[in-house]
Amino acid sequence: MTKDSEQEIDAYVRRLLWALQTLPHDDRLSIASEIHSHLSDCVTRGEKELDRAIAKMGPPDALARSYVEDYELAGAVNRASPAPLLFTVLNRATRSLLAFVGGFAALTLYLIALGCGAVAIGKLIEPGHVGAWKEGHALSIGIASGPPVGQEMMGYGIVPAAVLVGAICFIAAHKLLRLIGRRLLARSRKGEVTA
Amino acid sequence: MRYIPIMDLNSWQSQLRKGAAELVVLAVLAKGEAYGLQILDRANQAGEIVSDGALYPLLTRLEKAGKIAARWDMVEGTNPRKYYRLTPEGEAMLGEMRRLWGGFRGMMDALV
Repeated sequence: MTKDSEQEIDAYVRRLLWALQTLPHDDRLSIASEIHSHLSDCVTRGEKELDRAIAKMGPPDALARSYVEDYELAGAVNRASPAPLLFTVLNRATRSLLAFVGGFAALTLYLIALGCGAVAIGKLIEPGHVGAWKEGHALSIGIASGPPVGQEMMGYGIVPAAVLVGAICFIAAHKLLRLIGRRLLARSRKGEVTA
Repeated sequence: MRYIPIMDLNSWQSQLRKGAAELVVLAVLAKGEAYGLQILDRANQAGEIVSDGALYPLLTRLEKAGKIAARWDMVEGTNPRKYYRLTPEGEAMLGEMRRLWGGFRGMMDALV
């Protein structure tokens, strides 16, 4: 191996290592070592073979992205907390219709769950301003800043109802996110990048 | 003669290769343990199916999925190499993929 080839390989692997920063240390080293080994094997077949291999590898940051995206998605799918998975799915929304639709559907369900939680807690704190009111044909549910208009429909019954609806929305959002996460992971393993 | 944009054909061909890559890599490893460049050479014997940039992330995914197992071969004075082999789970998956591939190829031959 010539000094130039060695420097070229080292420079490529250094940039790859830098782009793999978010991966665990051992995984980063293993990937970088394997790519270094591959390029070192290629150079034994001639300089042109090294040039070909580096061209086919693509830029180090693009190669790193293949590893990082799989790692982030797999990690988020397996974690109990939904926040990393929601973030990862929404991050892919510009590149995947599934991520866009599913991610925003899950976000909407989480927001509804949050709203239901606010109604349940609000009813206990400010019972006069939180509830479900009917005036004529109009029905309004939520938190009123001023004196509510119309007849209250549920009283304190809104608390368990809001908790139930909120819990259903939260669980549905959670399951939807995991389903989308697994689907995106399966697609990325097959090399698909768009829906 | 109708002009077909090269970009459309290249994109379609790329998707075909991506779909076949996993089957090809598992089939190569079914013949015995091999390291990256060996797998690449054997997989691309008849034409480029897997590129260098696609192979290694694929090998990592297959390893994490338990379909292949790996070991490092560190002999002083030589280039360290990571060798891969099929696991029993990988062998089972390869068998199933081969069966499905046979059916798919038959369907396509009849249609195309």
